[in-house]
Amino acid sequence: MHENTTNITGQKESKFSLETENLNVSFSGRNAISDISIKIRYNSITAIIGPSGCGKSTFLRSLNFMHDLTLGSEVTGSINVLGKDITDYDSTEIRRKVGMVFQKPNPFPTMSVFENVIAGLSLNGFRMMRNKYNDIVEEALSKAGLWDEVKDRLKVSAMSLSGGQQQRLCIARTLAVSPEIVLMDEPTSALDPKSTARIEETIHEIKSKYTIIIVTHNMQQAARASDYTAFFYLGKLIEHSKTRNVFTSPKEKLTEEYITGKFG
Amino acid sequence: MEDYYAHIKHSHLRKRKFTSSLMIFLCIIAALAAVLPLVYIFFYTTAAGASALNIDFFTELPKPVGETGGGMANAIAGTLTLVGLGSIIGIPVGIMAGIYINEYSGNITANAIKFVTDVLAGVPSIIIGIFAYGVLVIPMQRFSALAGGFALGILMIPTITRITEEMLKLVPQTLREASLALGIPRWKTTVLIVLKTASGGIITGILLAIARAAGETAPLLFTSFGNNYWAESLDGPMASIPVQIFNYAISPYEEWHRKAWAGAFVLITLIFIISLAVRFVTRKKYG
Repeated sequence: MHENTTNITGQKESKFSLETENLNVSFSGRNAISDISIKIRYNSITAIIGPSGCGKSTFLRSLNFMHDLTLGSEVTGSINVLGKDITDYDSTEIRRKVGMVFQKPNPFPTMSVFENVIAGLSLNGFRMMRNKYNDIVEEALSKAGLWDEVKDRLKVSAMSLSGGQQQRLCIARTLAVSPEIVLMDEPTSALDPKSTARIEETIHEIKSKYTIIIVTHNMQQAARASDYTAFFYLGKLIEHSKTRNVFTSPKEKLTEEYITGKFG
Repeated sequence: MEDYYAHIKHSHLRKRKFTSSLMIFLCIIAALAAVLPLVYIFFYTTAAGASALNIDFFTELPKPVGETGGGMANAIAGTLTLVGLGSIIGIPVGIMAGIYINEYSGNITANAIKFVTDVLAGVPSIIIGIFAYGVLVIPMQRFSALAGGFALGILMIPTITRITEEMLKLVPQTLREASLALGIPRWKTTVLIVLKTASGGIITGILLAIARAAGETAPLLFTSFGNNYWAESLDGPMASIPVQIFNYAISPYEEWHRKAWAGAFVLITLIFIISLAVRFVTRKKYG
């Protein structure tokens, strides 16, 4: 059953920006995730935790069609994004609605900081006035908490920034195409603790405008930064609940064992 | 305390040191042997060719035997034209084939194409010339610059294909993902992100292929043939520096020999400039 509320215009609107039902993804016939049914609320942060190889990244990548890049991938079940089935979107359209930040910072090395931020717009052929670009760059970099550090060197190569700054640049680049959902695949695993703290702060600041799903290996990070936590194990969703509940009174024995460090 | 090194006698150490010095010496000799021919060629052609070099050489047509003066203006223009024609064929085909191998085809197709391009790269250039003779010169019933350019183009394809493919392979997969995740279509990702990131290396490959094509003689002998006058059209015979050098060098006339040296000097300088351009292009954009 879908929980629905009525919004101002009288339309039925779901509380959930993203829903999957019996989602299976397999690569060359081998199941990576099976029967995942999950509902993600608008403007919430959901952390996905679980041991290596449990399908966290596969799940995340299926939400914006990135699994498509791997040969022999097959998806069954349904994914509903912003009230529409994912198959009703064009793959480029879904990726603009559902942005993604990767494990390693990956700014475009041939572009400046400025060009990196607007890449998603300029390369897609959105022609607009220079002023408009300036506004977008400032807004995106401010949201990503990088504006004050780079406002005087927007023209330098993106590669000259530090790793943590590069990752925030990647967040800004993702936000510049104004997605509704932002997927983050272990966004801090390649960064030092200070940069990690800065990224977590950023995530917290942008939460009011975006639905964020973050895959993490770091349980402290999940506990600190998220509203909801989903625990994956061997391709299955074991538990999905408020973060506080998952970490203080998990319902499943597996979750408790993982959180207390008995395996994983 | 036990002496672990007791078994190494003093004389052993001396022998090792001697062997080490000897091998380093041999390496230095080998390095010199690799560099010397180029230095020698460069100085020898300069010494022999520079004296025949003057403004006329670049502006005048060849003079008949017995008359002094004259130049190679038509051959210089001809080489530039032929290499240009070759580039029009070789660069797009090479780059697109490289893109297809690395970005779009499956492994089996890619390996098959790579194998064929490697074989093509090993085909002697005179065979390429015969091929162009067969498919263009015979049906058209005449030697032509088009046939020469075609032969040079074929010659450039394997180099450019393989370098493009190698350079694209160096572009991290994460960059492609970053671009696709922004909703940028795949073809734009390929052209504007992947190709642009690899452009420095690809341009190097193109310039190397051009430098090689500029010096080729064999494929031009029976395609563009040679011409003592300005070529009237791309549809007719055209002079080129290597063929002109060849014709002058096998002649019995002293004056023509000096002209051949001058031509060699111009050709080497041209290739030297292209090599410098390669270094210039491949320097780091952001220091």
